[in-house]
Amino acid sequence: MNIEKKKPKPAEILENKKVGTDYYLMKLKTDNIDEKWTPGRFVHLKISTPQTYDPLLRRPFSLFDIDRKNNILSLLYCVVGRGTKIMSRLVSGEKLDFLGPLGQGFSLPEGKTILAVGGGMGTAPLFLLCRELAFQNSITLILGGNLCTDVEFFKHRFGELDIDIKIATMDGSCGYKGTAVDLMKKHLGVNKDSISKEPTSEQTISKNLNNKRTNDKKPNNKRTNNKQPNKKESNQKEKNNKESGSKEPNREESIIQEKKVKDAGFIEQKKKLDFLYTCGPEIMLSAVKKISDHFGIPGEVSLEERMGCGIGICLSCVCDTQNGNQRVCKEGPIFRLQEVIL
Amino acid sequence: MSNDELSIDHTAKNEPDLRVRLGPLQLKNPVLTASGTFGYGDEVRDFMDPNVLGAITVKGLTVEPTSGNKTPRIAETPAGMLNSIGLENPGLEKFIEEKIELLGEFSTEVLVNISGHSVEDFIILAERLAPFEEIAGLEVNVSCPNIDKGGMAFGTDPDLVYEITRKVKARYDGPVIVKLSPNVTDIVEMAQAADEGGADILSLINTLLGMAINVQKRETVLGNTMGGLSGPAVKPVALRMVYEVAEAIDLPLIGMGGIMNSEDALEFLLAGASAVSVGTANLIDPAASVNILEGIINYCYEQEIDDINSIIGALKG
Repeated sequence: MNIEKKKPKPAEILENKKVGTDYYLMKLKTDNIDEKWTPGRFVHLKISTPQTYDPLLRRPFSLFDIDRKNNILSLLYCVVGRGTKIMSRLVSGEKLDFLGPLGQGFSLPEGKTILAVGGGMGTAPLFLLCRELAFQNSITLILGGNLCTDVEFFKHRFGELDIDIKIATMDGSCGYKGTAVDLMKKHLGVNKDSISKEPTSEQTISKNLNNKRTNDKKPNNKRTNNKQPNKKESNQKEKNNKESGSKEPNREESIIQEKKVKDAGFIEQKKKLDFLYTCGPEIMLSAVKKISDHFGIPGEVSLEERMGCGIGICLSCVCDTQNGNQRVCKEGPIFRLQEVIL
Repeated sequence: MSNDELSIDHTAKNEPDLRVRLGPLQLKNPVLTASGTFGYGDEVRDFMDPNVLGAITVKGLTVEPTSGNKTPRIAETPAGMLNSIGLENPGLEKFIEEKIELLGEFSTEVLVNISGHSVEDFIILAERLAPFEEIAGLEVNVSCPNIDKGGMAFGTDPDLVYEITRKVKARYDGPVIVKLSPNVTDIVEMAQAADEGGADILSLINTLLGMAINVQKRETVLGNTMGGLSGPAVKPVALRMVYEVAEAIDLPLIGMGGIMNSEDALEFLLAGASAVSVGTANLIDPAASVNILEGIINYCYEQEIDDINSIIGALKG
């Protein structure tokens, strides 16, 4: 039996500093950061000193960044409770141990047009992802936060990468005034109110197929199949859509038409988009999922849940999916957007 | 298992004999895992070899598939944690179909924890699991709510503990372990009831019912309001209960409750447990049970103990 294998790995704190209003960055030196360390995976960190158990449980942290050459691991965290408060007071030279990397990482495509949407601290796992994908893909990142100070650190770090960054703040102090989802819709050229309560992705696909079939035969019935509550404008929009044919629409019409075309089962967004990545507050994830489902854009989400063991034994961190309960720590934290029920 | 496989001090003399006998159950050493903290044993293989342990106890099984409680299912408390997993498991038939064969691959003993919401559930579980040689014994969890009696836990009623034990025992030939709930005034009364019902072994303690509140949100921390407290915080209570039962009842005991290291485990052995189960510690370090076993072996060398049985219930004075 290999005794080394059983032990949680040691790590020495190289740096632990405040990098934003509530954000801290901890750099840890460990051994052998190999090819298993991929974006989206996490480490389960023991905050208490060796042989002590206060705080009792480990804390999961997504990989913010890794330096494979020097075996350095960077974790970004927010002080939200007792554990992270204790963590924020640790100084360089102190030693911690961790389990990991754990869980499933993001898919890593090549040659794709990618949109990543991060809300607040949820943006953390997207940095390593974008850094590793930026060379072979075209990436747009939408960064959302309440205030400018929430996004400042990310803006600075993501600025190192060859990606397009768009910022949304609730107070408008940086970038677009509104939520990351509002900005996402704007980026995609989606009518802000056009996406509301949506069925799950599989239902959407079948609905779209039905719509398409119905439209081919008798376009007048479209509305009965299309459950989109388009409010007062819907009649006019439908008319435009049906009549527009191949004519080049103006900007407003284009948005309307695109949506309608998509409703009919075609994916022909103004912005071509192959893949979505997202992480952040659940309300944001839910809205991103709706958009993803609506347009049939595949994507992945990084979920968070209170964890016990981090290795799939305690069943504390389950989430609801189309395949029943799944463990965030084991089958996740990265899930297909289409699969999760948010 | 050879002690060469473990990280121990070989400078001392005789290799200690770690074998313990719990009634009909013979184990190669006294370190086990507690149900619900070790999955089905395969999840931890990257971190340790379950086969070095005396036995493993797998996740609680119910007749029907159970999806469990809503999240958050876990809350950290001072020196402890609350959990309200809600017995999530694939159910009896799927367990038989998908898990039993894999459990048969372990060279160590596998105990299956069974839970029911009615006496009938326990009967079904015992009958259905009886033919499987892969299972070394059943651990009967009497701490879950009894739906027929308004949700009160079976384990708080000695008549029900007796009835369930007797009925499981009548249908299952192998060792029957009854896992006692600490949420009672008199643990000895419950232990006696299980003994009279024919239990071969008792395991104690299950978690202590507790809760936690987030004052900012004015909400309970657990999605299910209440949950079971485990971890170092419960160890003194567990130890006291093991001691009390060991003094009063002539049945082998498996002691558990907040065992984090070998010293904790040795306390339980000295209090009268013939074996110990490691629970919450597995969640913090999946190799905790192996480290505890190593620590016990080192203690035996240091204290020149040839046979682990010589320290069971061996408090001085």
